[in-house]
Order: sequence, then structure tokens, then C-alpha cells
Amino acid sequence: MTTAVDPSGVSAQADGSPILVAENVTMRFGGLVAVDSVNLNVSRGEIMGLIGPNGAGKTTFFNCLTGLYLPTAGSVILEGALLPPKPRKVVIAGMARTFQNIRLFGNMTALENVMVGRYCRTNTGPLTSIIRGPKFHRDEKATSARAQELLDFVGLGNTTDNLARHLSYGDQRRLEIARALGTDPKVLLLDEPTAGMNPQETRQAEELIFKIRDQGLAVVVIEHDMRFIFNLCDRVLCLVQGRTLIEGTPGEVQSDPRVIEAYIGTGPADAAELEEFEEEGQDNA
Amino acid sequence: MEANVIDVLQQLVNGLSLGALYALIAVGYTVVYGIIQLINFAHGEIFMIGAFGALTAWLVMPGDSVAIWVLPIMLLAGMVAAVGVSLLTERFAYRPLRNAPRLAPLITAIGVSVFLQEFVRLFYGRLPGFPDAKRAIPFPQIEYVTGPAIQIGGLTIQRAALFTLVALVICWAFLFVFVNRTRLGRAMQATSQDPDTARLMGINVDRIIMVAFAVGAALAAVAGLAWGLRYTNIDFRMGFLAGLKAFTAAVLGGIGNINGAVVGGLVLGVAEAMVTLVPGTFGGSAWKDVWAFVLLILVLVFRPQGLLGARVVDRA
Amino acid sequence: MTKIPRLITPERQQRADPTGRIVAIVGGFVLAASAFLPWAYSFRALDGMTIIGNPSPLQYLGMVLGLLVAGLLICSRVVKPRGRIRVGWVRGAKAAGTGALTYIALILLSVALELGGLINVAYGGWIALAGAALAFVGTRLMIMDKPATLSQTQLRPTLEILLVAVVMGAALFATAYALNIDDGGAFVSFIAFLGTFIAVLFRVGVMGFLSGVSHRHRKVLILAAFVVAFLFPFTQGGSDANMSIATQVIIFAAAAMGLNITVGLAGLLDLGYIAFLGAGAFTAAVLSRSAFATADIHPPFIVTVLIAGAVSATLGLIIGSPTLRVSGDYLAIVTLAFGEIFRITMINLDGEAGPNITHGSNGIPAIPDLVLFGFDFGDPHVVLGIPLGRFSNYYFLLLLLIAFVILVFVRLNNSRIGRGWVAIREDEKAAEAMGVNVFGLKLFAFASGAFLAGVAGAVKAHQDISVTPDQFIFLESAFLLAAVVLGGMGTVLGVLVGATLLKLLPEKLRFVSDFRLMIFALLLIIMMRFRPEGMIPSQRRQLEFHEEDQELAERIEEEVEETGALRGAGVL
Repeated sequence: MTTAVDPSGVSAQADGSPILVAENVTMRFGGLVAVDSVNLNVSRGEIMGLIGPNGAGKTTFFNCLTGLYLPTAGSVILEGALLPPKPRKVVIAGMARTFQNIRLFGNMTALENVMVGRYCRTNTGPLTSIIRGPKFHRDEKATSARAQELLDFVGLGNTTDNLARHLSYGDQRRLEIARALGTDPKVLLLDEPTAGMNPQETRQAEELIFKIRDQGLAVVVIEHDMRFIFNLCDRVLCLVQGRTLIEGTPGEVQSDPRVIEAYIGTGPADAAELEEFEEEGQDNA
Repeated sequence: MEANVIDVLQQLVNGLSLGALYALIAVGYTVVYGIIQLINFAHGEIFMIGAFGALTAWLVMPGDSVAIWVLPIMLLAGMVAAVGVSLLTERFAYRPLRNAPRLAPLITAIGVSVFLQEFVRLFYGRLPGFPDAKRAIPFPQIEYVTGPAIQIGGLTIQRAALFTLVALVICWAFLFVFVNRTRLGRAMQATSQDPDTARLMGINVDRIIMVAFAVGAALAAVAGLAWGLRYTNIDFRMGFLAGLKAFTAAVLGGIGNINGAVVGGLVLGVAEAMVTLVPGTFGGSAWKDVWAFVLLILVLVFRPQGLLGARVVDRA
Repeated sequence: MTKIPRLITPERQQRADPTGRIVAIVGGFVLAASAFLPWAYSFRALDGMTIIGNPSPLQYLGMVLGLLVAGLLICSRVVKPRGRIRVGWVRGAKAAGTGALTYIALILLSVALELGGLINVAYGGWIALAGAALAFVGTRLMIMDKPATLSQTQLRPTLEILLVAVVMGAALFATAYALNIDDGGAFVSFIAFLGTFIAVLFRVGVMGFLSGVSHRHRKVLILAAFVVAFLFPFTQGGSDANMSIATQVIIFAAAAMGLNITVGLAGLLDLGYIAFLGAGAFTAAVLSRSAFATADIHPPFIVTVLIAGAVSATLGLIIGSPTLRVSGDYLAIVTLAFGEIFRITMINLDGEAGPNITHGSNGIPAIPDLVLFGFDFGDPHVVLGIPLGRFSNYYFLLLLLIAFVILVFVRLNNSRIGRGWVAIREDEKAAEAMGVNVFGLKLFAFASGAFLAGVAGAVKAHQDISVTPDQFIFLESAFLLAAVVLGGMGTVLGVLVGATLLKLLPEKLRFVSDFRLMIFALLLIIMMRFRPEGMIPSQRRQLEFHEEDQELAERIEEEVEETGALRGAGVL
């Protein structure tokens, strides 16, 4: 196989042209405004970080992007075309995601999980499946080969026949990514991919995301691990209470006092965290 | 046959009384579904058992009195029977399956439903002095609530129908106070929103679920008694169609919503009655059941949350 | 699952193990010997167990169980383990012990019921009970050994195929024997024996070995199974009685297999499935050459079958489209309601309440037999000297039908579509988020099940000669659902076994026909409580229903690594 990740129709270079644009996306639940006029602009080959305290609306925003929620206002545009608010159509258009609480198909093997990701890119219909002509066997072979390739790509090559529920936590997160990659996305949305990971696993995740970026995808990452975000991302967007606080390079964002205040507050007990935060800033500046 | 205003009003009255029956049964479905997302297929049979309980009380009492004071005794007996059986089914058939995939409790409910039907059919007649339940059994016609119909204008209002409506109003009032003004009622609301948090707040979720089953059963018993008075006989199969219609009514009004169950029941009853006025093919009493179910399907297509809005939390 | 308080703790077992072994072996031999003694005082009970020295078939079976217990335990001491191969001697003996006690208890109970009191049980029967009880208690006192690992052992291919042929022959013989048992008590006891014997085979590891063999030689075995099924009518000696039952069973099983796609694969609860069968049957009846048929066109049967399937599938699409978009619970109620709508509509299309299509509650009788390519299904034929009656003719056609349904089922299961269905069952929203066409797949499963039911219904119309609305009541839907759920969701063998038992038992247990439905209801409740995945479940379903069972999950994972795929998803 040539490239491990093959976003069909997209050239494998970070050419800086915008691929995902969210305009004034707003999500209201009754009287509560969870997301308030958020704008987002991601280019090919760019890694965008999305940070903010808990409850800031980050996952809700993701759900709006991927059609899980119908935004109260605003629009989402992928490659110049307006996205319909249906999760399946969003995936077919080329945007895939992982979930905050891992949602794998627990009683399927790792390989089968990724093969499900291939569903929307294959077209073996019922008649073909019943007649089992050459097309069927070709399709099945291609699907499982591609799925194995993706497992290898994320580093899970030897877990092919393991049940997804038996994998370690870190492996399960990687499997979710492999499954999302199976849909041949152009934009990958990762929701807290390193939650619960130790430093070594976090570093592996970082490398994996760089590898994904190098294939020409755009990646948007929600995370709480500041060091991870600032190492990884080209740009960072900070949400607080549903609204954009600031958007810029990692350096700009982390030295902004409002961000520090939003995350950490200004009480004495948080002084230690504040110190650590500033130290990280100096590491990355 | 042309329908005129009197006919329409007549059917309206008939429909309301039929709807009141559906409403009383529907509350049981909606309350249980609202808390544990179980369609209690056996609830129709609880309604049947309520009727048989009331009948049993009357048979046991010496003499064959149909005086009015017999009525509350019959009602109490019916409630005891219905609530008792309902709680037993909850404890032994449904509770062990609380965390099982949805299919298991649903199939169990079907089993319980068939079991209860068969139990009554086979064993009721074996109790000494009791009539055989393999055929319909005549139900005692208690004075004042049955007998000659009341004539108002050109309308004929059956006393039993009036009884049913009054009973619904009283029950609804009790229910309103119970759910909104008592601690237990509020605990039920909390549990149906989020059982885990309710548990953390110190609410005994198991007990709340039992209360839900009991409340539904009590109302179904009222409906059972009303049915016996209205249609003059009861049989072991009466729960099947009535139960199905009642669940339709619950969905129609908004599943999980008690007011929805009442409204849905009344609307369904009236709709069914009105269909009998439609002349020609596909109308009339032969097709009323079909139209009732077509209504259900239409509601699901155009307004799946029901008339008053469903009150179930999406647990996905 | 609630645990019964442990009277028999591991420490006690350690000490009691040798004693238990001896007690059980003794019990086994006592049971075996008792077969030569009379078990009942009257010849009328079961199959005549009154003569000393001449055991009846049931008594022989009791002897077999006794010898099994003793033999397995003796082997556990005498036969040395070889390499990694482990045989489940003790586990098998435990199952045999429990089974023997159940078996003897059932026999004695039947004797008591049939002759009016336990007084009619002869001394041999009590000795048998004592022996069985000893065997049971003895094996209970023993420590459980590790599970058998015979699934990896391989013999020469020819030997393996021969073994499976022997097993199949035994199975056929057992089926024929069971079908011919008239006495209800004898039948139940025989089933208990079969159940015990199969459980023992499982525990010892023979079943594991056999399923490994059958997995390796799958195609040959399936062919063999069909050959055996094909030869069945020839073993009836010209009698058509059993064939009549067999055709009922196969129609039922074919319909259940269609439902298996909807319920077993896609996880959709259809409570009105009988309506699809009925739609197919009425379509075929209306288009037939019956004097009562209400249509003037009489297409050839092949076309009628397709039309019937299409009618049912269309109904499925109409019902499914609005309902499958909303929660799955609603589907149950809507399908139930639809079943009733169908039945009432069929009754109402009698010329008075509606246009006369079905003659109302009288239905359409006098449907002529099929005539395909000049072959009249109503005429008895003589093949190889053996007369085959009307039902035998339909039997062959039905074999083709069920082969087709099974083929569709298996091939859809092991495909991209099957994977989509599993994903939907696991986590519908996640599946949708990964691009799986959830609504489309659900609708397809629903409509396919309906189509297959329509086809089965068309054949049923000709076989039953008349079609009436009251053949299609809710209870029939419940029975079909039970066949799928109790037999084993998502597997071919499970549904076949479930359908066979559900159709066959009422025929054989006529002495409890009044309690039929109640037993059925209790069966549903008990199975859902203790084994919701059914008798012969697919491995995936077992995993789904026992989320907390870690041991099960690890065991299945081991097997997946051996065989490369989650077995049980298709055939076994």
C-alpha cells in the first residue's frame, strides 16, 4: 500500500487552504446557550486545538459540527459545501470523529471495528452478498486489508483478533482513531484523545496525530492537557461558557491572562497550578 | 345513513367514556415506561385481574346484593388483586432483568401476559363455588351505577359510562396531588429523570419502581370494575385489545407523561367512536380498531413525542 | 444472577473428593444394574418397564446414564493426560449425574401420573432413583476440573468426516425414534435423556471437538445434512403422518428463519410478523385456482411466490418507514398493532364491510395442489419402491425453501451488511457517526424478513389447502418470536432447533394440551431469566447478554484467535 491514510481527492500536502469553516455556530437548549456564535477556520494539514474549562461547550460544539445536534444558528462548511446536519452525511462528506467516553463496538474484534469504519466507503450490497460473485470477495479482501493497514498505522497491528472491550484504555483510544480513519476523512475531530493516559502514551498519541497530519488531514483536538496542546497544535481556540475567548498561536493563547484566569481562577490554592502553567508557557515560547 | 348533530354528540359521549377507560389503563403503561423504559405487556392483564378481583369480592359476600355499598368493597378487592399481582410480577419477573438488554424484559413481559391469561382461564373455575372462566362471566350490575340510561336532550348516557368518567376525574385529581404535592410523588419524578442521581440523593429507587407499578395497577383496577359495570361481563381475554389500545393512547399523548396518558386515552376513545359514524366501506364499527391503530402510526410519523410531549430521558 | 448459598465449599470439596468419586461410581453401577429390574407395576406406564431381565428402551437409556457416570469417573483416574489435550471427565460426570437424577425423577413422576400414584412405582424404580441420587451427590462432592480443550485436536480428515457421519446417523435415528413415541411421559423423559447426553458431550469436550471438525469440513457437512434431510421421507415406510408434522415444522422454521434476520441480526422486535406470513398466504390464495379465489388472474406458481413476497415486503416497508426512525420500543407496539390490523382487515374484506377479497372470516378454502412442471404435488408417487404421499412431495419443496432462506441468512450475516447490523446492535449512535446507514439497514432487515415470510406463506397456502384469518393471530407471532429467541438469536441451528421443539412438543405432549400456553409462558419467563441468549446462541450474542462474564469473554477470544473470526455468527 502506498499511503496508510488515503484521503481520496485531497493532495497530501499542507497547502494552507481552508477546509473546515464554522460560521457563527450557536446551540441553545431551551434557555441555556451552550455554544454562542463560535467561528472556526481550519486548513488542510493544520492541527487545531480546542481548549476551555469543563462545561465550556467544546463537545457540544463538536456535536454541532458533526450533525449530532442541529445548531440553533450558524453553518458548517466543509470544502466549500454546506454540511447537512446528519451524522452520516457529515462522515460521507469527509469529517470523522472520536468520542469523549470511548464508544467502540465492544463485542467486535479490533479488526471488525475498523471494518465498520469502512462501511460508508464500500458498496457491497445485499444482492452481491447473497450471490457471492468475484466482486464480493474482492470487496471483502480490500476492506479487511485496509482495516489491517489502519491498525498497523496506529500501532495496533497485533490486536487484530482481540475483542475491543479487552484492549487497554490507551489501545481503545487508538482503535477509535483507527476506526475514524477508516472512513477516509479529510478532517478528523478528536475529543480528549489523551484522557486517562500516562505521559508515555500521551507522547505516542502526539506522534500519531503528527503522522495523521502528515498524510494531509486537518485535525481538531479537544484537550485539557496543556503541554500536549501546546506541543501539538498550530493554532488554539479557547472557549469559555460557550463563547470564543481567544484564538491564536499556542504562545499567544497561553500567555493571555484571561485564559489563565478562566482555567485556574485567581484563588491562593491555585497558585501552584498557575506556576506550572507559566512554566509550560516558558518551555514553549 | 347520514350523521346529524345528535349522533355526533352521542358518539362524543360514548367516546369519552370509552376513552376514560383507556386513560385509566394508559397511566399504568406511561408511568412504568417513564421510569424503567419497559413496555409492561402484562398491564392489560392487570386490568383484567382487577375486574376479576372485584367479581371475586362480590361472589364471596353472602347474598347476591347489588346495593351501592357493595361497590367500594369490590373496588378495594379489585385494587388489592391488581396491585398484588403487579408487584409480584415486578419483583420476580422484571427486577432481575433490570440491567439486561431491552429484549429480555420485553419477552418476559409477553410471557407474563400469556401466563396471567392462562392462569385465570384454567384455575379460576377450580376455586370452589367460582364460575368457569373459559367463557365470559356475567358481572354484577350494581344499583345506581348501572341500570336505565339517563336521557338528556336526545342523548342516551349510560350510567356506567358516567361512572367511568367521574372515576377518571377523581383518579386524575388524586394522581395530580400525589405526583406534585407529596414527597413520594416528587421522588418518582426525580427517579424518572435520572435514577442514578436519585439514588445518590437517598431515594430508594427499587421502592419507587414498586410504587409506580402499584399506582398503575390501582388505576387499572378501577378501569376493570368500570368495564364490568359497563359491558356486563368480563372474560380472561379482555386485557389484550384494551391493553394495546391503552398503550396506543399513552404514546398518542406522550409516553412518560401522565397528563398525556389521560388526554391520549380520551382522544383515542372519541376518535374510535367517531369512526363508527363514517358510512360505507372502511368505516363503521368493523373498522374502528384499524383506524385506532392507523392513528398511532400517524402520530409516530408526524409527532413522535405525542400530543403533550414525551417525558422520557434519552439514556443513549 | 442470584447465587444459592454454598453448602459445598471448596475446602469441603477437597476433603470429600475421593469419597465422592467412589460414591458416584457405585451409584452409577447401581443405576445401571437397576435397568434389569422392574420400574413399574403395570405395562401401561411409559414403554413397559415391568419385566425382570428385559429392560425397556427407556431403562436401557437409564443404564447408559449410569454407566456414563461410572465410566467417566473411572477414566478420569485411569486415562493419563496427553500433552495439552484435556478431557473433561469429571465435568462430564457431573452433568451425567445431574441428568441421571432428573431423568429417573421424570420417569417415576410419569409413572405416578399415568398409573395414579407413586405406589405404582416398582422396587426397581426406587433402586434406580437411589443409584441416580448417589451418582448426583457423589459428583457434587467432587472438585470441578478445568474445561476440556479438545477443539484443537485433529485426526485424519477421513476419520473426522466418518465420525461426524456417525453422529448424524445417531441424530437421525434419535429423531425418528422420538417422533414415534406416543406416550407423553416417555417422550419427555427421552428428551431429558437427549439433553443430558448432549450436555455430557459438551462437558467432556466431544462437542468442542465436533464443532472444530465441522468448522474445518463445513461444506461437506452441510451437504451431508441436506442429504440426510432429503432421505427422511424414505424412512417412513410409506406413512405420511409424520411427514404432515414435518411439513408444518419446516414452514414454521422457514418463517422463524426470516424473523431471525429481523430480530436475531438487526435486533428489531417484530411482534406482528405473522401478518407477513398471512399476507403471502392470502395473496397466493387469491391468485390460485380455488373456486373461491377472488381474482381472475392465475399466474404460474413461481410468479405467485414472487408477488406474495413483494406484497409482504411492501407492507414491511410501509410499516417500517415511519416506525424505524423512532425508538425500538415503539416498533414492538406498532408491529403488534399491525398484526391486529391485518387480521381485522382480512376479516372485513368480505363484501359487506369492505370489498370482497378474502371472504371474510371464512377465508379461501379448496386451494388446489401445486402443479409444477407437470408434477402434481397432490399425487402420491412411488420412488425406489417406497410410496411417497402428498406431504412428502411438499416436504421436498419445503426443503428447497428453507435451504434458500438459510442461504440468504448466512450470506447476509457474513458481509458488510451483517457487520453493519452488529454495529447497530452494539451502539446505534456510534454506528451512525461512523457512516453506517442505520435507518436503511434496519428497513432492509425488516423488509427482507417480511419478504421471506411472504414466500413461505405462499407455499403454506397450497399445503394447508385453506387460508383463514384466524390462522394469523398474535399468539402465532409470539410462537415464532419464541422460536428465534429461545432457540438462539442469530444462529441457524439455534432457530432450527427452537422451531422444531416449539412445533413438535405440542403434538407430542397432547396430555397437557390444556396447559400448553401456560408452559410456553413459563418457558419464556424462565429462559429470559437464566439464558436470555437462547439454547444455541451465537458467540456474539452470548457476549452481549453476559457483559459482566469475564471468563466467557476470554474463552471466546481464545477461540477467535484460533479460527480467525467470531464463530457462531453464521451457522453453528
